[in-house]
Amino acid sequence: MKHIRRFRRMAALGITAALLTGCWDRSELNDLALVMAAGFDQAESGRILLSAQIYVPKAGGSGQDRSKGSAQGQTMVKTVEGETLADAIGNLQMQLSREIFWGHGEVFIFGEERARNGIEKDLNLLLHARQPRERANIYVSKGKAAEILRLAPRLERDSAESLREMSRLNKVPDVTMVKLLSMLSGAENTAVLPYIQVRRSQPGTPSNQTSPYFVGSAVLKEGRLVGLLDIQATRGLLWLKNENKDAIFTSDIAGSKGKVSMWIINHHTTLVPSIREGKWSVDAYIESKSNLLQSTSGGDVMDPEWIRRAEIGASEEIESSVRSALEKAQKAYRSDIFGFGELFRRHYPSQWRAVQKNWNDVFSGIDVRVHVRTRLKRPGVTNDSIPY
Amino acid sequence: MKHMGSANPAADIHDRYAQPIDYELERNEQTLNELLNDCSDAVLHKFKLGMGRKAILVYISGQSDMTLIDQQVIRPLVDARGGSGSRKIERGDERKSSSEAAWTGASENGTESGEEGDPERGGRMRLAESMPVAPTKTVFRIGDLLEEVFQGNPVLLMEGETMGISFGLADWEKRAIEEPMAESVIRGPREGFTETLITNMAMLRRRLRTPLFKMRPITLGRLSRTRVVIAFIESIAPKELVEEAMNRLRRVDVDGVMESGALEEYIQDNPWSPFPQLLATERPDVATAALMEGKIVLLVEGTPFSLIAPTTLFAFLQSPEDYYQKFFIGTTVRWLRFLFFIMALLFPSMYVAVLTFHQEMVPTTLLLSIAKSREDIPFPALFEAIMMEVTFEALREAGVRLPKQVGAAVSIVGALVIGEAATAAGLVSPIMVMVVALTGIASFMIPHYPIGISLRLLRFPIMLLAGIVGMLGVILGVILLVIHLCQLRSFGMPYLSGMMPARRNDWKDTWFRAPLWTMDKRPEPAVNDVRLHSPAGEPKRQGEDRN
Repeated sequence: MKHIRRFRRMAALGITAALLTGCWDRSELNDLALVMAAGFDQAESGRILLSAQIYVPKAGGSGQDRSKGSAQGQTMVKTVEGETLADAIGNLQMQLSREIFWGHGEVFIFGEERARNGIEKDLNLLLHARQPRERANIYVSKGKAAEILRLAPRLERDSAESLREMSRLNKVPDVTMVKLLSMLSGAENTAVLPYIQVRRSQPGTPSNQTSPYFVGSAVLKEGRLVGLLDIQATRGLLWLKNENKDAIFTSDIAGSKGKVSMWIINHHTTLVPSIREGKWSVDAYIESKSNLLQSTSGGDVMDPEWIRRAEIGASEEIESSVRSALEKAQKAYRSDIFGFGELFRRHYPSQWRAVQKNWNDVFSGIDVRVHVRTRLKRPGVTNDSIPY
Repeated sequence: MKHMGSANPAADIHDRYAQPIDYELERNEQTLNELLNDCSDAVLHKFKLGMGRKAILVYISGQSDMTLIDQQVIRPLVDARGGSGSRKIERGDERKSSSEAAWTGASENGTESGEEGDPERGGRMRLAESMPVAPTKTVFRIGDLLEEVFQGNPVLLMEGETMGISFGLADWEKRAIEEPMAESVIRGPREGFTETLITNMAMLRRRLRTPLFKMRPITLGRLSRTRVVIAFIESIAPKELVEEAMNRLRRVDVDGVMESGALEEYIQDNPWSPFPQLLATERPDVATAALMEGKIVLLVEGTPFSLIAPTTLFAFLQSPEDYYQKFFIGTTVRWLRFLFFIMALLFPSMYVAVLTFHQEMVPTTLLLSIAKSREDIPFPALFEAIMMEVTFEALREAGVRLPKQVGAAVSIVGALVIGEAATAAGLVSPIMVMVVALTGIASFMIPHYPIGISLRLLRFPIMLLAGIVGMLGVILGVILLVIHLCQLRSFGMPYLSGMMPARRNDWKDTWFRAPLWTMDKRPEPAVNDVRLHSPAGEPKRQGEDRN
């Protein structure tokens, strides 16, 4: 009996203790405003314009009705102004009947103007706050970020989702919040963000029924946008940073007309820094293996000589894109977006420390030797072009 | 022969039970008549032996084979003439002089050590032996007589004898051996225990043809006088275990034992635990396997469910078929059961916790579709979950209790109500229906029913905890449960044994179902733990060493 009494007492205590805490952070799903994406734009006099893409759960009702809900209009965009981002979020909450929930916000877009003024202030909140994800993707948009959020692409749930999926395909820099942070806190204090733009909608469809797309990348230095790279330079950047994956690229064939398209199946870039007689240089060894996708040259794709020429053409193509990236970064923006600083810090720590203060000057003067080796591995399932 | 005023008929009966069978037949008849007054099924068949001696045959109608009583008992006795052949019935001496001490020395099987060479007794024994009935037994007390009679064995009383002869002609209508309902297998023996104790004993004996296999009887229940048998293998089961079981059974003082489940409540270690501490099985092969692992099996008259003790949590997650199929199939199925065991316990709680506290844990797309389906639901997730689980339990219970034809109707209506109407009416979200259905299936996946019920019960408090403090509550519930399981014992053996006193040998049969030839040691309770198993595969050639 004593046993039972003690058990009862403990149970009563336990239950009351549990009830005392209450359900303070309990929130039903239909009391939440799920933020899918957020955009940050510059407003008057340094203020911020926060645009939030919020999911509107259209009631599914029974199973039969669900198919009727169209893909469009599932999100809404609310735009509020504030002194700081936190202030703006507070203002946004005032306008919403549901509690803002950031846990699924996986896309953050900085308007170009906001980015030019510096993203660090806003990033500060995103990193401090508990709910936003470190794995959220970050972009810079041409024009207002809010415009991107207002788009309702036909293929995806919303523009945020289409951006995220496009990033995943990896033909552009895939920058998450945590990656951006590590880039900004690295020795070079630079970062590259994907640069997006609204595509003009097709004639006859509503103007918002289109999706954003990538037009290059934005170069950030000390948290501020300093310049843009076009698609070719972006590709060169990815080659150097060893992030290019399964991309298709088309090049000339050395010594013949026509083009050849290849599909990279495997590639590897090695950067070797060296300081000789006070001259800083980097050797970039870019090796890649590709499959042949298309050849418009009319040559015999099994002919080793043809393959050699195709490989040379491809190498030249890769080299020129790498060169254009280097050109922009070294000459125009004087920003080390390739991570050379880190490279030298590891290999030549003392020399690095000496030039750390004016690294950008040193970086601009680095001689980069690009060695490209392309292998065309498989010609595909036919050996010859169609005779004509 | 005392006649008490009989304020307490039970005590009165108790006195009469100790009474010896009297020399005079009439007295015995009177006693029996008084005792069996109003027992309309009891028959006192009076007749005269061949030599004109009076006799009474006592039996219960419907419990004995009437044809055999007629042909093998009454007819030979009536026909018998003194002095010829083996059928000869020797009369006892005129006077019976044996002292009362003889009765007290009478043991159950009727051998009296003190009276060897007594010609009179020899005569009686010859009578018993000469009957064309296989098992005979002599009884010396009214109580023993009635015990035999109520077991269905007719007892013969004769003028001038202080004993009765019971004939093993018990025969009543019994259920045929059928396939066990609760533990069915695809491959494996199809016979299950029945309600008849001797049939069950025979089934076990058929599987263990060794004198080492013992079955100790004990009778329980003041009114029911239910026979219970403790079965064990002498060289494997620890002696203390058998003694402990015997002691626990002796302590059981009840009116009647209707089912082994009722007995279980009296003899289990922790009656407050929601977990079953004895494994009930209606499969003789499961019982035999347990015996060979040094466990004891309690067979109870009147129920097909035998009890295996001690048992572990993992025994409830094992099916005999694990051993009859290939070991990797057995292992995989076990892992599946572990998974669904956890699911049966935690799935609704996790759903509630994640949906009300940790929305960020759900993949975005899934969360959006959940959000969409929950948009119009008027109830909080916790309430929705509890409502649905209660409904499901009600449907299950209704389906089990009702006759089969109606049961099917219940399940159809239930499926419609839960699956279609409730979601169409916007009372519950389709995802909740799925959660409940999956939990239901998970709880049905556990091969032993009692632990499934325990899980179902435990689900609700954990669900409440999940609704109050989220995942923290779920974890809290699990921790409390694990603490409880760690201190729980079954007949002194840890409930988690097989996993928890970490022994590699025992793990072979809990986490996995290791190949049989590698399980060369018996698990926990066995005294003699060396199992001699043959090696795997084809026999090795001579001279080759087995390593």
